[in-house]
Amino acid sequence: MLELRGVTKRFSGIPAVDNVSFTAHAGVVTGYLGPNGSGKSTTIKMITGLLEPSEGSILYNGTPIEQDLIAHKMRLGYVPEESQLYPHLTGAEFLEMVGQLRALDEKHLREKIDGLLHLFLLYDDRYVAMSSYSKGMRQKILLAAALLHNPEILLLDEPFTGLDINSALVLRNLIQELARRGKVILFSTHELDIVERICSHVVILHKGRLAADDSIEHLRVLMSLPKLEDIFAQLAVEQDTEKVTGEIVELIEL
Amino acid sequence: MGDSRARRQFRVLYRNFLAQIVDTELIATHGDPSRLLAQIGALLISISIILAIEILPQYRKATAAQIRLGAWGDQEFLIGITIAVIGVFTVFAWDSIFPSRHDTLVLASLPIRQNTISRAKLAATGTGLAVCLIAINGVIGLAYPFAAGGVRTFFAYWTTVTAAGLWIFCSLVALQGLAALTLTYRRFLKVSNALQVASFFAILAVFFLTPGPLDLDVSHGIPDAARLLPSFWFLGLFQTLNASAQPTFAPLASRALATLIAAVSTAALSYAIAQYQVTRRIVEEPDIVPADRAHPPSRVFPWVVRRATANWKPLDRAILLFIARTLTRSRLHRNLMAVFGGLGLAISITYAKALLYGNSQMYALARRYGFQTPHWYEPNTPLMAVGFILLILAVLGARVVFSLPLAVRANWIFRITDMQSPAAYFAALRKSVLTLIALPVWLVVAIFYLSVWGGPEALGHMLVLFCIGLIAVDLALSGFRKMPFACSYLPGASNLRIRLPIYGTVFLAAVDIGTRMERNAFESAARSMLLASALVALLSYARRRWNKLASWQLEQLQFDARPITDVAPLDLRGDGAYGRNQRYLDVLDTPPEPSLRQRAWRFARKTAIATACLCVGGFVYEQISELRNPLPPRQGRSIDIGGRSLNYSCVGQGSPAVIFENGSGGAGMNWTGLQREVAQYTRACWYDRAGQGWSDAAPFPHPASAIADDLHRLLGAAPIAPPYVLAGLSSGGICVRVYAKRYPPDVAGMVLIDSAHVDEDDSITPPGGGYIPYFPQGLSVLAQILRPIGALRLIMPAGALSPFETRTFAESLKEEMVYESHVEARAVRSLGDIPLIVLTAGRHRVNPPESPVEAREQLARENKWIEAQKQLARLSTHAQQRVFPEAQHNLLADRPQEVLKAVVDVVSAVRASSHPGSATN
Repeated sequence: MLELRGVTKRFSGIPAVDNVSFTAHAGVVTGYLGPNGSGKSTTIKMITGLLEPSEGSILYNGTPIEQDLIAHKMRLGYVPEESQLYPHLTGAEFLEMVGQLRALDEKHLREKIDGLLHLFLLYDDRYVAMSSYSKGMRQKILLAAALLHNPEILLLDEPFTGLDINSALVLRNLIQELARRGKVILFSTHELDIVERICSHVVILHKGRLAADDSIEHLRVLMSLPKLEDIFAQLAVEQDTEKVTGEIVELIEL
Repeated sequence: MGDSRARRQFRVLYRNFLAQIVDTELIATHGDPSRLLAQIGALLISISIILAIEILPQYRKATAAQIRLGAWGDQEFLIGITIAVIGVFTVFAWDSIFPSRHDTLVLASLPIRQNTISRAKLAATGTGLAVCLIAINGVIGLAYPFAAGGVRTFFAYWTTVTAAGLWIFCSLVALQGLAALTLTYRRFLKVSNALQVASFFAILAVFFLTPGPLDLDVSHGIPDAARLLPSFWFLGLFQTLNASAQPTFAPLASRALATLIAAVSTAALSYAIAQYQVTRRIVEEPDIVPADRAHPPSRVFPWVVRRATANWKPLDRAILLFIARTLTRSRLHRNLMAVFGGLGLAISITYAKALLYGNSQMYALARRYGFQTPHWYEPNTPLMAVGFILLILAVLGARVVFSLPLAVRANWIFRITDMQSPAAYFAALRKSVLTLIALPVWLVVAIFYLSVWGGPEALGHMLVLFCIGLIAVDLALSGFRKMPFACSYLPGASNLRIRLPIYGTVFLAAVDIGTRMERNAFESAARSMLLASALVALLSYARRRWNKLASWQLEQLQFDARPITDVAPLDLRGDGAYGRNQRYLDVLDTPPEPSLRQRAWRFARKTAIATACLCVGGFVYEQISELRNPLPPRQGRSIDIGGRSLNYSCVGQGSPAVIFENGSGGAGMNWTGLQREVAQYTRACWYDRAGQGWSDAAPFPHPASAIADDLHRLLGAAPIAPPYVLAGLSSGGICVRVYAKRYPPDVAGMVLIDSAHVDEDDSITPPGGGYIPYFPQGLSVLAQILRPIGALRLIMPAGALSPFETRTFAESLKEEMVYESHVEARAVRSLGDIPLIVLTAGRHRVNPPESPVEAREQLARENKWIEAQKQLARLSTHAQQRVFPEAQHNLLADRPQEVLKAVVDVVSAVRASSHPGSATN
């Protein structure tokens, strides 16, 4: 399991993540929610080791990850929020590079790459530079790169961005299947209906602090609200959406 | 309303396009295009100032006729540099002239007329063009026309440079426009970049290959090859507009006008059509076309890589492939490598220009000055230098290019997979640079050298290049902690504007000196071994330095140009985890950096050991060389002149006795052949000056007056009765003149054999310029120290040393021939009416000139020498000068019969005269 204990991250003294503690268990898909700027991506970057916490610790199976960061990276698969890829490489070349950087066996690597490209319907475009890829195609490459080494932990930051319906369905089923196989999956998204369908546990962040850390079922009972959208709105949304909508319309009609 | 909106749109677009003109990823502008243009303008103006300083002074003394006939070289150069600067500007602005994908997709959805966009683009391009043209000609263009003519020249000059700039700009735009119209958009993108790089190389090649007024003989018309050069066409235009009397270039004016009209019209037409056609193609073409799917980027390259790197670690392979693909596919990085390639090409052409022209008409004038083109099929310094230049610039270019990021935010993939030690990444990078950058250059030059030269010289040069390549890679990458193309970049942080001129000057000097040293080294086994030792020492140093920096335990792979300013907390928990990559306890355990005193002591110790080893090796080398080059059997006999002895030899009978005085560093026995011939007429004697041949060493100082006194004592002790005919060779000519001044009754005649002499119009400079105290003494002591450890033998040209010369070189420095002796010789104003023959050699070339400029300067020096020797003929009222224009300085070896004839003529004249000393013994 992946555990965050009192994790804080400050940038120039201002906390982006403030004393956040939660646990993502193996076999469970944990949703990680929050409005823009709540600290979700910062938390995920700390879990990947890209950022260092100002306070607190991140543990995997009871061991702080900084004791052996290399081992942690070896078991981690990460899909970033922004699909930043090297535009001059083709999809196949990028996956090959990732596999080589992870020191995967060359023979199996080739097999995995071809297989994943077929399954993600990218095989025909494997020779095309990623500068020509659509948003969805890039997202699929990122997913393939994250899965190539059969990670124990999967961090998905807005993985459904740009995916067509077919691919989104595949990904949804894939996440559930991977959870059943004992992976730790932390899944961050704004799409609450997907969270409701595939996550059994949610963590809600608001202004860098933990607002909720519970199963969806339990939250419904606690807050007496039937839908996750309503729960989220109560915990993390500050704007009066109807008022804002009205003001926007008035402004553009000036 | 519509017009004002269009004007506002035009202004906004103009400013935007102006910023796009030069790729701002390379140059720091902080988003301000006017600042960028100001920087470029300032650089060009400074070049213009330098040109003015170099060119204008000679026009102050020149007459109008001289300017008309001889100024074409400067005019052609100024036109040529304008074409080169505008051409390079157009190449750098290549992508901003025609509609780009970015412009189309961003602006297409906005309510802007295509006409407005086109006008804004044209105006921005025109602004850049005008800034470059005015800046490069700003200073020189104001001063030169008035120095070389007047108002008419001013207008002719500016009309010509504007036409030339417009011609090159429109020609390149026409080239790009025709490609845009005839190819699909994707094919055009690929071809366009190739055209851009090819144009850049072509512009530089033509500029540096253009012969100058020192090379080209236009007195019989312009050679056909020169007629093909655009700078000569516009020179013709200038000459026509300026109404110059010189008809040579005027016919080319029509060529300039015709090509200008063709270029402008083609560019205008293709640009106008391309504006609409290209835009439409960009919008209509899908992101992925079927052709992209069918053809993999390369089949051959991955196959070759897999075979060649079968035993490589996956990390090494990943880095190699990433670098190779980025260098070949990223326009920015490819163009920057092309800039370094262009630099290499320009420098190589400058070195090897003479070889390229061979014996063609383009170098006819240079050949008249005595310049002989080296044979390209024999090992020569210019072609050897080309190998160094290409290799070092390739490595340096790669180092610079690696620092420029490509999609920097995509570097997360390297951070995420950062599972190995930084040393492993650095080693992979080093391996990739050696494989991708150094190896191709090695292969190309190896094929060239081995096929053209073959033999041990080619192999030796390849070995040297191999070592230099390894050294260059290790030094370039030591301290380079970044993942190539994946670290953010601070434009301007590298201070290229300051470093480039300094490093460039050092680099060029190093290539020049290094190539000459290498050529000298191949002439002897000892020098080759010394060179090999030096290379091994440098290799070892570079490798250790790289290793030390790469494997330093606190080293990290760098992804940000500026480190994140986030203060890590203190390790208050005491669990040893201070930070992710900086373990607190490890920091405590790290041995402290040595102090300056310790480092100085270590350096001194290593230097002392290395020096001692070199001295021992040199001593052994000198002893072996002396055993292999023993002194010949002794000739002559020794005589005491008061505390020390001199060696001399006399044969024959008669009077006057001929006394031969040798040049500096030589031995008296060199006269033996001539002595035997002269002995048939009279008594002939040679002697070894103090410290030379078999004579004892001299005290310090030992100027010409001391030498004359030694000779006088020798002649008295031998005894050899006066009168004497003194024959002095080279610096021996100074000694005999000073002897004649000190002992006039003894001297009845004199032969000066290419005697050392400083022109009366020139001042005699003391050694070290007079600023270094004890310079001659110090030099002599240094020579004494260097001789026994073989250093002198290494410095001297191989095969040019007699067994005496290494022994006597140090001694000859005591003679102070450079200064005090010359002062004493200049004090000799008259030798009366004694018969005097001055023999003058016209060639003082130790090595053939390596460039037309050097050939011209050498010829001027030789002509001046011949003129100055006439002053020696005025020392006597009974004198004559005999000049041998093609003879070398050592006339004794080059023209022995002429020397004999001169000696015999003077002896006969002495006997025939009524001089008291003419009676025979």
